[in-house]
Amino acid sequence: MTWKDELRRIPAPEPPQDLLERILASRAAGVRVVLPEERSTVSRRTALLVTAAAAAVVLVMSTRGGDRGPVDPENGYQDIAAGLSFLPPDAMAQEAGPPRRPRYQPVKSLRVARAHGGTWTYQTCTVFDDVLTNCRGRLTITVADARWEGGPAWLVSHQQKSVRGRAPDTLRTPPDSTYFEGSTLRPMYAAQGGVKFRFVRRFTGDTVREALDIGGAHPRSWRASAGIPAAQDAPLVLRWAGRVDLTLLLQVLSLDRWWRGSVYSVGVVGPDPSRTAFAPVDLRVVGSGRIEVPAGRFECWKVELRESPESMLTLWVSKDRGWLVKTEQQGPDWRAESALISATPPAP
Amino acid sequence: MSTSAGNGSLTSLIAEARAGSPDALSALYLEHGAALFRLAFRLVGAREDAEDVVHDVFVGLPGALQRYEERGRLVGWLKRVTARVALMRLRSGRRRREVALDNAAEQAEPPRASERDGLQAAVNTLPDHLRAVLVLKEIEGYAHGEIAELLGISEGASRVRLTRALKRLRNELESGR
Repeated sequence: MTWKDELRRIPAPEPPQDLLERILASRAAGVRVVLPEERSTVSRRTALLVTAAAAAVVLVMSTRGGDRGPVDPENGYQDIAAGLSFLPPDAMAQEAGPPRRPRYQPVKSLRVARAHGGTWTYQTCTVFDDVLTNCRGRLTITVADARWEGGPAWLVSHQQKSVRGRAPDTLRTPPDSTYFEGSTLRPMYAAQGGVKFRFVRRFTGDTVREALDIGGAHPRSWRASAGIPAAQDAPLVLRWAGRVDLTLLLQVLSLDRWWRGSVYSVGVVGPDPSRTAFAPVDLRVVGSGRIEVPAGRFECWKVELRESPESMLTLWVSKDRGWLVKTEQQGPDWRAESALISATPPAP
Repeated sequence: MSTSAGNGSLTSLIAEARAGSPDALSALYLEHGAALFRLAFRLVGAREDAEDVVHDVFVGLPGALQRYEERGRLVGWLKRVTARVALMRLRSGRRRREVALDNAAEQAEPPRASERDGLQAAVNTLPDHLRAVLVLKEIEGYAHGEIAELLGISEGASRVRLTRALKRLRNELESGR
């Protein structure tokens, strides 16, 4: 017998007895999973040829004629938005076509009494090719008790800074403030910007209205609105600088080993109705364990976050208070990790 | 109910599974679940991850069967779907063996000598991209064309990866002796 024959005889474990039960229970609970589709039978070579031809056409078209025509109002919005660092580029580049459906049942039962204020600071390190490490980003999220139009609310703000050795920190994004409704954790009012521009979103029951005003020598203003999907009391999370902010939501979820649920995230509506500003965020607990970060040692749930079939993020959420302790994302040749480096109230 | 019965009963079983019938899903699981679990385990290298893969495959099966054209054997199609889900998991770096979780203490212990010397231990030392090709070619018997399609690489790259995997395996086994 060759070792290749032995290879085929390597024992593999049998599935656990209760796996079928769990599968049927998940289906009965309404869990749905979209499996990857078979690829087209078009060969890779043909696909490459088609791509190359398309690229050539685009190149020819983009280099024809030196003068640009007047700015199209719709494209103008994209140009303006793309030029501003606070607008998430992925929100501006969402694919047209039917919107992606949530993978799991919508998140419903929230333990809102568990929500609490504080300040959490994260350091993000990116490792390229397992060698080059860049730890320059620092994000501080503040949650405070507040009131909005007479009712209880949470005020959430972010501060993203670049840290370069002994040089003073550089603020990378303009200040922002978002008010969330206390019992549903739905955003009510979000504002970002300052003197040069201001981007405001107002949320009513089923609609978001956004306004972008740019000052300076060539002032411009844009307005857009869109209907919010899902139930009017379902929680919504905001996309901020290309990421979803789950700080408040994670505090109030009843996570356990088999927990899973979906919420909608709100990006930028923009002028194109074929693009959707609302992307489902699918969350699933896949394990638990104790991890250590600069802010302390935490017993955590490990949670998978899926925003698209290609985009996966792993979160570690503290079991006791629902703090986001660490996130990890992996690409083909890079890995990004954000770890909690300090928290107020201090970690237990 | 068995899927190895006549074509008619298999067709009706697939139709029932498409409609989400728990009985039909159970029948398909009992027929193919163990083989799919073994395939998932060999690809992802951890029991809990293999459970998640098979769980997702069967939970998503009624939807996926809408696209199944009943050409070729059902088990082959199921294996391709399972391999795809497992490979997605590998690509996204979501395997539990990477992080200290429930079984962190067990993982921290050095492997026993008998395991270290074994072929299985040698396979487990291979990086994911090489192990996937080795498992799919040498254990599951896929052709390089099919592996290329599953992994999104060229046939040539699949051959190169297999050669590298076998070379590393040989070195590993020789150094363990």
